[in-house]
Amino acid sequence: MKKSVLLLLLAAMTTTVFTSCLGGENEQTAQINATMVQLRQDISGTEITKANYRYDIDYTNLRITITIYDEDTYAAAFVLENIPLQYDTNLGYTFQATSVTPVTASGAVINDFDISNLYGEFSTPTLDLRYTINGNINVTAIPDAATYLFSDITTTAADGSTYQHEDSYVNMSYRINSDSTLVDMTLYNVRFVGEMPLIESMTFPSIEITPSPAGNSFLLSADEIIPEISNTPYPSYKVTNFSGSVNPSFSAGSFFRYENVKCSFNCMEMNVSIDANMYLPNNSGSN
Amino acid sequence: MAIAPQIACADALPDPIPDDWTADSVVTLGELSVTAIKYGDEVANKDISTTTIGKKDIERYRIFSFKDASTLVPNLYIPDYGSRMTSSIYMRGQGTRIDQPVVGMNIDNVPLLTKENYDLDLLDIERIEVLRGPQSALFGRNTMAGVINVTTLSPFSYHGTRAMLSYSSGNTYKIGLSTYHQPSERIGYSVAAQYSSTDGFFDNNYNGSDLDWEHQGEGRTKLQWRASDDLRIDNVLSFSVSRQGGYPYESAANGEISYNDTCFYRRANISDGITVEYKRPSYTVTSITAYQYLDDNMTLDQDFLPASYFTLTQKRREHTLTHDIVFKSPERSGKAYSWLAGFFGFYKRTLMDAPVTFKDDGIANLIEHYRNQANPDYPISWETRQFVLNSNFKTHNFGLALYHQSTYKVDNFILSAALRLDFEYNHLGYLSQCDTGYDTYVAATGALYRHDDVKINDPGGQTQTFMQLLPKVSATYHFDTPHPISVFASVAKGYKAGGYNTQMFSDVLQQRLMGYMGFGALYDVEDIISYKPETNWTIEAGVHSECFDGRIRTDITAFYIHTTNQQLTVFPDGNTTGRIMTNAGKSRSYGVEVAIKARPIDPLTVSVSYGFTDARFIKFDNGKENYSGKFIPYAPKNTIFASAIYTVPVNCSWLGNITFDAHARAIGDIYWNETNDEKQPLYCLPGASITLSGQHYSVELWGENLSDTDYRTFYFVSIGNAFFQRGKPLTIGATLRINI
Repeated sequence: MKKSVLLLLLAAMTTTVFTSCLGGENEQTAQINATMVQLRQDISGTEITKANYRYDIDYTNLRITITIYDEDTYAAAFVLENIPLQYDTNLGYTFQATSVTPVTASGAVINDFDISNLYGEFSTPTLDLRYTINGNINVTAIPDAATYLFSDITTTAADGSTYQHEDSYVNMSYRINSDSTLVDMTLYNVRFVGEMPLIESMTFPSIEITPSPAGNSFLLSADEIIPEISNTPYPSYKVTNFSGSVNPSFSAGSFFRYENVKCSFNCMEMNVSIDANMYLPNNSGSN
Repeated sequence: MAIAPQIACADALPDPIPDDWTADSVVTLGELSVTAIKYGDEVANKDISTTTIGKKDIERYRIFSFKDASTLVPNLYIPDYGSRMTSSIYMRGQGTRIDQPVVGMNIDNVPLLTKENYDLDLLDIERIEVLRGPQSALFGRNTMAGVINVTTLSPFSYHGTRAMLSYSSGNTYKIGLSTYHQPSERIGYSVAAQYSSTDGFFDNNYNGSDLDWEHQGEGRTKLQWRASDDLRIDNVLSFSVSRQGGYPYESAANGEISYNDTCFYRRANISDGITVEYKRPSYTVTSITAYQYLDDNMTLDQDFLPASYFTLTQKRREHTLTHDIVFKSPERSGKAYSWLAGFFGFYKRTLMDAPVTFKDDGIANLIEHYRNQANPDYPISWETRQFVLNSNFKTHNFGLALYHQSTYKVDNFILSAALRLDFEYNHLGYLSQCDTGYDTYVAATGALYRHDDVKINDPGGQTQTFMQLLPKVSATYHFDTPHPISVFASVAKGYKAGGYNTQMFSDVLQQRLMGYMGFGALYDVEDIISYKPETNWTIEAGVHSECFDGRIRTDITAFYIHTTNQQLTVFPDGNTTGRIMTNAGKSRSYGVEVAIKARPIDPLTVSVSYGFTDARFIKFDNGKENYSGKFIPYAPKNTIFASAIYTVPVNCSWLGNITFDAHARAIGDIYWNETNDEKQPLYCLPGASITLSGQHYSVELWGENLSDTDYRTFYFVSIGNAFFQRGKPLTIGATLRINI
């Protein structure tokens, strides 16, 4: 029941964040605007960037047009037109194309630019895609705010005893700009030990993000974090040695997704590890 | 047969005064009572376990409300604690402190759908019938352990004026006046009123005030019209008002009753019931229509401490309309087959305001301390030292039922089968509100860090529907003996309606409030707000017998009950102080009931009622502990009532009889909690009376709890503190009754 409510809440949040609007009397088209965090990998390395995407969806003809905006000017950088959509009852809509010719906002073909290996999906709670530009730049994009509903917290005390709390969930909110590559991680319904009061939400602010060496995930790190509860710092819950990763994961040929966040840290002389997933691990994707 | 002793007197008594034996014999012939309507004139030898308390015993044991009948009926325990609102009934190990009762109640045929209405003082009760075991097939919801039917005196059975004056310990006095007239053969009417006042027995050590004081009154008119031999109409209009203190809860830690906030309960009731019976040669139809209005206000110092934690007020206005129409084959038709079929419907509308006021100590210890312990570097301070968590509720509840019973007599066997289809709709609308706020400071500098408003305005609603099939089958065998002996066996399903955890909303609000500071349980309100019906199956077998020329009447019953979807109070997930009613458990209960009334010699009547119950959880996990195998709390293992009444005829013109009564009630063990580590051992309360009776009066000197036994009637825990309520101490009094 609780999970269902959370999913509904998340669906409402997603709708708001992405400014979804259905068009037409028969509601057969929709537009989703989303700010995405990108892992942009080329021969010189991987960088984390931010870009704005617009998805124009034609449900009648099962087509999607993706407009990728310039991050700063908000002018359309290129448009991927009329990509076929597929529908899966569990995961929602997915799209893929081996090669796409981008166009400008006015519809002119961009000749010196090609997109290949496009794969994406949009459904609650995900809206992810990846593609390759000109055969040598791999882009993986995820929303700049995401919630991982299925989260386990495992705490190991100094004496070696362990405590497990399974009813929490995690939200990641990215702050990517020219000055910072940071993410605020908020844990909901959290408890590290049985005696600890159940905390409705606890935010670890300003965790530094770096690309993984392989360029396919985000690494999280912080030497020291003062958590915030209801926008108030809690020095007594100081966190040290924070490390972790956000792992966008596409399983080619399948619609199963296991995107997750893993992290560990020390707090109040305990070691805490968190394993947060968008879907139930080892689940067939049904939510 | 022994010769009765007799005190010589010069004056002869004009008419003999009925003795106890005949006066308390069950005479229901021709009455328009709900028991007679559904079970026929003679319920005592049917396929159910019954106890009937007649007028003499009602007067002798000063039974004004159903609570006073506790233990006179085997396995019936109605603890006297709290206030008139707390009418918990335990029967055969079944019962709950709050919400839906397991025993139904009818007063002059009016079914009381709200348990908080049960505890009414009534003048001139003629008879109390307690039908033990599930009565759901004929009486429907909330009768899974039995039904209590109270019938007041009829102007057709008594003519004249009655007055009653009683004074007893605790500066308790009660006065009653009633008049019964039959101006014609076919019309009878009566008017009755009573008022009582008491200072109570317990004081509040905090300020020395009386706690369990009460002023209450009741009035009733009864109009009975026998329009023809075939048409009878009865109307009973009653009202009652009660103002009381109540809640003399003493700390288990120091034995003191000491709290600082006022507790009281106020209630006003109006009830009108009209019963119409129309007889045709092939059937009889009876219609019972009733309207009830309840307006009450319970206000509690919910922490029951000298400190100012929080108070609760619960104001309610409730309108209830019920209608029961019964068709049945003619009585005494001589036919082997008889039948009964009926339709029952009710509508209940309740408006309730239930504000919880958090006060200084509650804010400091339950909110600020809890929060600041977790974050001493940025402590908070509430913006005011008192605020309100407000909850408003509006419920619409209606039910429809169809029922049928077929009875077939084959030689000495009577076989019976009944089935009821019961539907219920229940909608709760709620609005939870709070408007307060707090400041956060930097501990190091004392500077204000931020201010947060706490504004909650959560409306919502939920609807439940229940559908139940409630069967009963039974067989009765009457032996061909000079004196009636019958044995019976039955299997029946009982049903207790589902409902809503309105008492949970203050905790939900409190947790929402804590959530503003990041703490608190995340309640799924939709999940915890409601609970489903509880059902049970009861197998019972019994014997009704009379022997030695009817000088010994015996009723023995053995029963086994299996309960599923048991409504139990559990702790929700998380570290909360809340309790919710949920369908968490299964239980079983078995036991025996023995009722013997004997008249070994003419002036002496001896009665014994004994009930034994072994009621345990089969499955009960409250989320924190598993209580399977433990005794069900609050339900006593044993109830015992024994009495000896000795009547000496005097035969004076001014004095007819002198009656000596000695009796004792014993109850226990009662376990107070699910862990079974707190209990009230078996205790005994001896009582006695001497009554001088004349043609038109009686004077009774009486005493209860003559041993001044110290015992407990209730136990609970609030904010981690345990509390008891002590039972009433030694009480003596005198009662004068005048019948003109």
